[in-house]
Amino acid sequence: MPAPGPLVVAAKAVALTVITALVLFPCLVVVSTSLAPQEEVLDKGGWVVWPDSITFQAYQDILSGGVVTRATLVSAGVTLIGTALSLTCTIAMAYALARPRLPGGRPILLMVLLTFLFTPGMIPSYLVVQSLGLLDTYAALVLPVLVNAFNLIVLRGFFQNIPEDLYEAARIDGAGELRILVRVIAPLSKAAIAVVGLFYAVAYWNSFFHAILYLNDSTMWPIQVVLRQYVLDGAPLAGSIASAETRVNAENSIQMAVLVLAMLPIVIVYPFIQRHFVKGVLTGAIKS
Amino acid sequence: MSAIDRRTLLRFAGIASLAAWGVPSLTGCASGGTGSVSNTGRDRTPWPVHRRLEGPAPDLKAGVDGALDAFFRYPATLSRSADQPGDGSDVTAFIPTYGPPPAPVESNRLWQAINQALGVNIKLNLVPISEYKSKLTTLMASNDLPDIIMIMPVPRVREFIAASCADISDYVGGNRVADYPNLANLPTVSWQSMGRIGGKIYGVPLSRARAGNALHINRTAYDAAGAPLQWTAEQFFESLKAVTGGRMYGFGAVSEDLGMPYHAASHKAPQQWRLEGGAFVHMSATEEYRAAIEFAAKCFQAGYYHPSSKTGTLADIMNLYYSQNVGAVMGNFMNYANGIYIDRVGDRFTTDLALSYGDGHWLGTGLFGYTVFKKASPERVKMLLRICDFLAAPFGTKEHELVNHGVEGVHFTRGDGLLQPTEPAAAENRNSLPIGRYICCAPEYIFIPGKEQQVRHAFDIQNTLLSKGIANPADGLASPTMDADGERLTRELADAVNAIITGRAGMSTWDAAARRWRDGGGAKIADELAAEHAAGR
Amino acid sequence: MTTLRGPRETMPAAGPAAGRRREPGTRRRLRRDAMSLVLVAPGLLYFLIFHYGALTGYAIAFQDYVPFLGLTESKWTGLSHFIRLLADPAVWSAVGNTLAISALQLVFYFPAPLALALLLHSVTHDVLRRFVQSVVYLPHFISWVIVVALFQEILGGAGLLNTWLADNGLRTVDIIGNPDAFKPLVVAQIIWKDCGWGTIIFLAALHTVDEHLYEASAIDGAGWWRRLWHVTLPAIRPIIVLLFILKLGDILSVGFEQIFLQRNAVGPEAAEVLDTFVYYAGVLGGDWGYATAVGLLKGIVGAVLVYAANRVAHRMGEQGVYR
Repeated sequence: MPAPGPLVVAAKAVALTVITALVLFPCLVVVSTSLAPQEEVLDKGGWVVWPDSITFQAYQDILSGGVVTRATLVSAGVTLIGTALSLTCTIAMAYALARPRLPGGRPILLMVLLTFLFTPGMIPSYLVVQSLGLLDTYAALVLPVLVNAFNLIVLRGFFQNIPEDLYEAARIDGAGELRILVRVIAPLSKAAIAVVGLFYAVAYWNSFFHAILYLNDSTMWPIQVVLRQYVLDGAPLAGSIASAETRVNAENSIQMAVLVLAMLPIVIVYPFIQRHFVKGVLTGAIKS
Repeated sequence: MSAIDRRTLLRFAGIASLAAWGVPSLTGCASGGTGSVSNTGRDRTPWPVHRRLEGPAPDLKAGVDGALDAFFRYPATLSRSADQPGDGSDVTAFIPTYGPPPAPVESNRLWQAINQALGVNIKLNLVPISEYKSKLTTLMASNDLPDIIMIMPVPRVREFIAASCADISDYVGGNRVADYPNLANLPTVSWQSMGRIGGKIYGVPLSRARAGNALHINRTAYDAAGAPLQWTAEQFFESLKAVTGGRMYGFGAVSEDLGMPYHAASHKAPQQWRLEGGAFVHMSATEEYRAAIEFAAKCFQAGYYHPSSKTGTLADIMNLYYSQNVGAVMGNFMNYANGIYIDRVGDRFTTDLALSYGDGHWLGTGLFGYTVFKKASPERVKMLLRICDFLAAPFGTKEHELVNHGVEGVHFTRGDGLLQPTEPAAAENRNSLPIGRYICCAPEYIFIPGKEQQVRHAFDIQNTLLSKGIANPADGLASPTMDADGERLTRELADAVNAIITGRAGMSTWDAAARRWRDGGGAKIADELAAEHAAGR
Repeated sequence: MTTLRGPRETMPAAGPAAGRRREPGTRRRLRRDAMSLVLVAPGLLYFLIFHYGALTGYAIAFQDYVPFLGLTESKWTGLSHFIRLLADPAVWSAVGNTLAISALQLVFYFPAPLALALLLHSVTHDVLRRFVQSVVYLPHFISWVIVVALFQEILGGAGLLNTWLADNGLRTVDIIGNPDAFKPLVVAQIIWKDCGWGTIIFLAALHTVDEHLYEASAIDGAGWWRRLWHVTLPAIRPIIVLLFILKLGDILSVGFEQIFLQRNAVGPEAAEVLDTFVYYAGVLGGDWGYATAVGLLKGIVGAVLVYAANRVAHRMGEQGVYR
């Protein structure tokens, strides 16, 4: 590639710097506030850009008692198993639906599309989960959201984008559908699969509403439900002032610590997934 | 995965005919519609007769129904007021929580101790308060009820209770409540605010301070501005002006109400409704309320409200209060009277309660919610009531201490006039395990460990607030139109008030908004409430 | 291979379809289709049970639904919810606000991640690109409560910007709480929060662009701009079109929590959207039938738009969402 002109380089540099600053500054405030002593947070009006001194008190308050630790394990398990199941089902279904001339393929695809447009209400969904006997099981956090129509349709779009020649070539080699999927299509679509997997993982990690509805036993609660309880008075839907119920409002530092704790796993895992976005895999595969 | 798949397949056969989600067991008793929950034309069960339970003598004794006793020191000798109520069975309870979840019962000494004292195995179905309404709805739809359900006002919940829950009139009505001395000790106003359903009593109230919400102010800042304790509207306005400056704003409020309850009460406007010769007059039709809006708008537009009031949640505004960006904010009276705000503010400034700048104060309902029971044999319902009785044991009893503070030596040690929480209490406490808060609870009390002066002050303020008290005559009364349209009407009116205060709309829009309220269903609600009221509260 | 045990065990579901025709010569094709149907089966089962099993719930839209009475006992009310809905000026006002915000989102928020992805894609410095890439997605994980508080802290009446303006004797600006600024503000917020996260999918799409094409065009002496226009964009166009059509299907949903939190600041005239309207009617007001009717209408509008957009896409020679 020819080297871009200096003006373009400068424009890019400015754009990237501004964007990064816009994103990083608030993130810095969040982390700093979570680490600042409560006195300092109050003296500075609730938010701290750079703490004068550092304390892990907010984190200790949240992590003491072991409830958060248990909930983290629950969420990790649900996220791992859920993502694996969801990805498997989604890849399989997206692949099959991406093949032309699949008997019944079009009606099935339309059916899926309709579920994207018409989402079932809270009460009917609850009754389905109840009638399947899934209440108070971890399966209730996975099965009702097993396949996401959006993810499925997007992944199918990626699969369709792969040149038809590749399928044909594999077929001539005598490969069956499963083999084509596992050996040819999946490796070629690593980036798309990584993205969809990330979407699933984040959805599982962040979900709380299903857990609240479907799990009566609070010892089964996942991390997001538990963390929300530390900042509950900040929750928008908690209702009017009357429900202040003599609880101390969550301190800003605790609120921010909760945020950091909720984000931490993603921050740790993301770079590993990001590796799959790097350029150039497809070319290499075609060449070989 | 294969196991799950197979089970899914099997179950699918069972739910293929999902069309029928009916709740068959309810047919017959539930088809009456809203009419069945009205008290009009029904025999009314008398309210439980109040009988004060004599425990350790309070240092300041409340004078009127619903007022709180005050204590300077934690009582040295405790009394007993209940026997072990349970029969060894499992008891399931659906209650809200404001705290993190408790550790499982196997490793939770507080839970174990409460179970042992109650003689039952309490199984909690805890729901975070912000999802309470959603989860209660699914619970009602599911036809799989726990033994105990905590109820907060949700549209048409009374129909559900009348159809599916136990009528406890025969156990607690009138003098029969004497079998449950701690329930008899609950203030009458709490029972009344709960209300009857079809003339019957179905629930046990979770009693709360009658003083309700009050204005918390940064006394240090307001003293510097020369604000008196008893103030007039002009003095209030001048004080806001003097306090506002730099980072500090005189007033802060949540975006939902912009402090209107304080202004309305100060202008002696009715709390929602006023009874005039048997008729219900809504606040929106009164001059006092109009004047309150005008005054609030004046304060807001003068720039004395913190700008975050436009989007602020309670947590935002309270953080601004603690950090001295906001000089005054509405909040629960108890947040002062149990020392939480005092503790929180520390030495930074003096946090105090303010009186209204007029002759009125909007009273609390005396109620957080109430507990109802799944239909069961009389023996079982009575057992559940005895559990509630145990949990309602007042301050100064052994029962109260166990439920609220845990086990001596494990969760607290006895200090000089107070209980000193130990380290396990940081995780095992009534915040994470709110059995004694939301299944049933004791009447509240004023006690700030080691702060006698503040206790006296809170007690005095309480009495002043109660003497200025304006109650809502509709508390505990049912109206089908309010059930159906109340939320919408209230919101539309609040939106109109909000627009005027923030200056987006002029005062001239108020009459039209009030008229919309009246014609959109308000007039009908007034008629229904009047009929219910005539039938007796 | 072990992960695929599940689908294989559900094979009987595909049995009847596989056995439909048994002409000699098509045997191989049938085997292939059977395998495809096996791959479809788990997902299909999921949609049938958890979506179509629950979709009967839309019957609520024709009822005065009371949860504890259930579908069979609640009173049927015919089309009354829909009639009330279409006659309610509050609904139309909410539809207007929703569409206005949606339109702004389509114009500014939809292309933003694409633009950022293209920018990132064009950065040749590997470390720099990775650094920016692994920073920009972070705001996605900050909850709306805190995003709104942060914006208030910066742009609000007592925020950084206005304090600075006031300290320097300049005129302060009224952004938060100004109904005219509300719609641009919420779009700016969502761009800040989700633009970086949205790039991920475009980066994945860019990753499928054949590098030979770049090399070829570079040899032709094409500049960055021409390469973008003639190589990059055409290659990822199917995914862009797909995402755009799906976004159209969602046109009547613009994010509940974000709007809800700031609704009081500007009032319902500027900020009531369909989702907040439904929240008040359904969850708070207990009017489940009415709320479901709104949901049904939303779905129908989305379906019509997806259908139309898909037709247009086909005209332009695109795959669209389905064919």
